[in-house]
Amino acid sequence: MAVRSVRVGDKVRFPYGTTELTARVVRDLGPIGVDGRQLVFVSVRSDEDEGGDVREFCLPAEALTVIEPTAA
Amino acid sequence: MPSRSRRKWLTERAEALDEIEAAHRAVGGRRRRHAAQQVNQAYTLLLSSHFQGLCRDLYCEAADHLVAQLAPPAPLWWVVREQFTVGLKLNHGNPTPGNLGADFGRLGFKLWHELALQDARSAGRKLRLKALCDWRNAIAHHDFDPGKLDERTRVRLADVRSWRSACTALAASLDAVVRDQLHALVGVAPW
Repeated sequence: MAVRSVRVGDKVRFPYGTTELTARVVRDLGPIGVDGRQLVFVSVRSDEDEGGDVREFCLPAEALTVIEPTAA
Repeated sequence: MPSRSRRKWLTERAEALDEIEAAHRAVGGRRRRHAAQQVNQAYTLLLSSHFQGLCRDLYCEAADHLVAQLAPPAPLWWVVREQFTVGLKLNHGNPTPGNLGADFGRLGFKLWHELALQDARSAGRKLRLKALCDWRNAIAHHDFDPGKLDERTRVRLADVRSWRSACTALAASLDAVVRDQLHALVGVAPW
């Protein structure tokens, strides 16, 4: 069965230092990474205790775990 | 071999821009001049948007190569990745010369200095890129200040073609400069 690629709108999880973060995929750059891997931008909202800000950064899709696929 | 980002510029992004050129040719009727101006404005916005996309793609492609070569230990891998791409001006800002210089400068080199060394025509292309961004803002905010727009309020097809030509040439130079700089930084060329 073909593996579903990560899509804009998916809720994802990934390790971060010694903790774990959840994020929303907000932009798909397509297969432009090393060896043609898919790169995406994720948006992370930090807890109020950590400033409560929103950060967007780019990650390889293959390293993300989709925990809530977008319905679209 | 060009970067994947530049190949995308030369294929799917070029196709999208060619389609709006075709739309310009298809405009007819009594109000042709007015309709053509709307198409020119749309073409300007689309060109700015695609060049912004190219630059963001190229930066992220470069950062992905850098982190792969640095190979930080697993717990730090994600943290390092974030630091290379968080707060990118090209993520939400226009592809102005300043925003390009600020973002690519995060990789450890002076972009416009290197572009000038790579091709002496870069200075002229930088001016055309600035003009594209000025017109893009005027159109997007419906704020046509002739003082900022070469004493005009209407954008011509020849203008957009000239900006597109500058963007295409800058895409080639960016591709070469970023490749050479990454090679110097980590010893392995990314493309």
